[in-house]
Amino acid sequence: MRYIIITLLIFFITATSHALVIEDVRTYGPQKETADLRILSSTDIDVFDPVLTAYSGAFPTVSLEYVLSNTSDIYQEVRDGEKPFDLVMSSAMDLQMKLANDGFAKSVSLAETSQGPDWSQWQNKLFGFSLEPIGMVVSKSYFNNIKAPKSRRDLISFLRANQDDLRGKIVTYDVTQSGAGFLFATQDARQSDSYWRMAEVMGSLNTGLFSGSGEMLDAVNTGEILLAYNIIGSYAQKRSREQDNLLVIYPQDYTHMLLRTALVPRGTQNFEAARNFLTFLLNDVGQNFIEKRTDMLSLQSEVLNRNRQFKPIRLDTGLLVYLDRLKKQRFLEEWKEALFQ
Amino acid sequence: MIRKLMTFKTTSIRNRLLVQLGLVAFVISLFLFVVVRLALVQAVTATQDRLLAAAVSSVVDKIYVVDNIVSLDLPYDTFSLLGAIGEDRIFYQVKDDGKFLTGYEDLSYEGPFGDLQEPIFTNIDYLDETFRAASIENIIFAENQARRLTIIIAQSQNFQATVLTKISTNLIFVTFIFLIIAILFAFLTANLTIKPIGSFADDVKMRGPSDLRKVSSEVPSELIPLVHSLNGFISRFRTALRQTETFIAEAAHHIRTPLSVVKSESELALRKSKTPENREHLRNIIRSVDQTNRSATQLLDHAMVLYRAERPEKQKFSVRQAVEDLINQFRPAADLRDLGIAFSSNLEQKQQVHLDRTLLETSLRNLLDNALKYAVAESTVSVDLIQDKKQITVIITNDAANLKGFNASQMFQKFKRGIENKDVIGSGLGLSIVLEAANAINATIKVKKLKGKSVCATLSLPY
Ligand SMILES: Nc1ncnc2c1ncn2[C@@H]1O[C@H](COP(=O)(O)OP(=O)(O)O)[C@@H](O)[C@H]1O
Ligand SMILES: [Mg+2]
Repeated sequence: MRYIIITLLIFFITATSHALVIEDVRTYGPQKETADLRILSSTDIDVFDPVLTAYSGAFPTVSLEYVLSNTSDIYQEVRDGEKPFDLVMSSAMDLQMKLANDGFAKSVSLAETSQGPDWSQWQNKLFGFSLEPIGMVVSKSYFNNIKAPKSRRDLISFLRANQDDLRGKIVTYDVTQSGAGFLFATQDARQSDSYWRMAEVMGSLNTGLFSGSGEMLDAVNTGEILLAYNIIGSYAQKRSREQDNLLVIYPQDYTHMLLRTALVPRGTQNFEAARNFLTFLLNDVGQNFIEKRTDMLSLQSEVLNRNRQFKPIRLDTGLLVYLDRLKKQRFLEEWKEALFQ
Repeated sequence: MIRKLMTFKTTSIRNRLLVQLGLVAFVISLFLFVVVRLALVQAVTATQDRLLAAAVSSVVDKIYVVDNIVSLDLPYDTFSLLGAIGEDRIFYQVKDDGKFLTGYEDLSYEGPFGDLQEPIFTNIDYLDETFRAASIENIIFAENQARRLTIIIAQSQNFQATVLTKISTNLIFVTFIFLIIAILFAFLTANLTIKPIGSFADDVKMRGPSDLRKVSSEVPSELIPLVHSLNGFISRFRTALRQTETFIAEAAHHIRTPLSVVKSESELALRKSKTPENREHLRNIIRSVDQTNRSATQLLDHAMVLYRAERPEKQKFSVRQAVEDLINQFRPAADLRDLGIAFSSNLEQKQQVHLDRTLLETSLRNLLDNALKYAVAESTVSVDLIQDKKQITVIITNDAANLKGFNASQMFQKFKRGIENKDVIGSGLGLSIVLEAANAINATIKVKKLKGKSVCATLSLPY
């Protein structure tokens, strides 16, 4: 009994102490005290802004508030339900899946035309709305006259062969800090046995660990860093237009496609507005817009058909397993062992 | 009486049969649907259970102990598969000697637990839904100590719902088709059952108005009593009719003999009588006697026709000969009124028909009799015998003196006479006898007024 009380107490403290860290806010449409539609999202405003502007143009009377935060804060916020948001979008598919499975998402019935492929939706609760390939970004100047690795095997042998050049010049996500990074790493571990080998090699090269991709890309651009592993394509592509030292590579053995997902939390105060936004996002017009006007890809993107290497991460209950206390603990331990040598 | 019978609340055997068969078909379909669905639910539940059992055992496979610490490497694909069919929610819990190890801590399930070979399957309520759960306990040894691990995996029941709705729609469709076919069969059966009754009814309906033969059509055994009593009824009816006819014929016969005596006595008295008053009286008597005699003859004729209509005696004979003979019989009567009879025929002498000669002669005699009676004095009555592809027709035409109140269709009724010929002797039975006789030999008779003042009677004989 005392045991339970103590655990509850600990749970309570950690739960309440977990305040939502708001990184940025932008509003669209008419200004109101409380917006009609409040979106909590982990997608950079710059990346998602075209979609929000288009929506605001189509529904000018709706006042919209877009709140940016990180994936784990978003997850905790939805579980606690302290601030009422109407729509929650996140790149951490596993956390979103857990929210939906554990009953924190509301059912939303959408029109037939808004139904994506079956791997992109779960029940009527979790909706994938965009795809983004996860690749590596390298320094153009360094790979000017050196052949860049095309697959993970290439990468491993390349790292081994150029240890002196690359020591301290590689970066990837710190999976203990970044929810997206954790998802990419666990999917890698699941997909291929060579992942741990690669992690070992990266560890031996004193790989730098970051929690956001922005800093990593900046470092690659300056040439300070030569290779960033597991970077979301849309960020990289966008940066590479302004920063000309960036080269995005999608490994040919497999390139996972991240599915950004949205759900309507239980505590929504404007269900209809959320539904309307989801419909806009998922119907032909919205999907076309995402494909053509943003750096993200639509669910029916041609890229999927053109190339077998692109594999969407399926939205199913398998995603739950790496969130299991023991499995997560074991994974993080192994990861730390590999990367901190 | 018959009308009254018809307005009784009618119950149709066919409809009753149809309703009963339809009802049976419906009940069977319903039963079929329920039973198959029940079996289906069991099958689907069994499938889900097997899936859960497989999941539990693959989880157990991933349990390991290091340094006396129990750990678990949850298999990704197992969880992926569990939700594959119905996008089901999944919850699980692992306890180590009753102490929560991993999964969902608030999933309260205290047992019973099965083992790997036979997990226990139960429905448990968790959060806001009912879940299907498989639970087992597994004893592992760590540092020579037995530890009791309990594992439960719960899955929501979309799986069931998804599979069931998919199959159920098909099932409903199949049941519906079955029902339709069954009802079609019911229709068929009802019609087949009722058919003998219908053809029996038709048989009776098809009969001529005076056909009183026994019913001899084949009927199902259930109807035989009905046919028997119907035949009994017919024969009683026929006997009664026969008795009446015999009575009339005999009465006519008995009247005719004394009448001829009265007539000859009156004629004798007329010859001897001196005063014009007496002579006038006697002439009146003679006329009445003639009239009565004629009526008696026609009553006899009528009775004869009715009798023969029941059993026509068919024979082969030359029509032309028969008509010519008849005309010759009438010549003296025609001469009395200065009438000519013109006969024409496109028929060979040897052309024969096969029917009851007496009936034909009776009808022709009555037609000729009318023609001569009602013809204008000193005119000509024509008799034409014409054969064409379909039939042989006798046409008798005469100029009539007065046709006031002549209505061809009414003249066939018994005792119906024209209003302007009261001075012509007649009983009003002639044309009705013609009609009865014609019907009996399957001939058709038409009488119509032609332009001018002539009347034309047409008798058509079948081959
Ligand atoms: N050939 C005919 N010419 C004129 N009238 C006729 C002729 N045949 C029948 N009729 C009319 O039809 C009536 C009915 O004829 P029928 O049944 O033979 O009775 P009846 O001759 O005894 O009066 C006759 O009273 C007469 O007015
Ligand atoms: Mg007459």
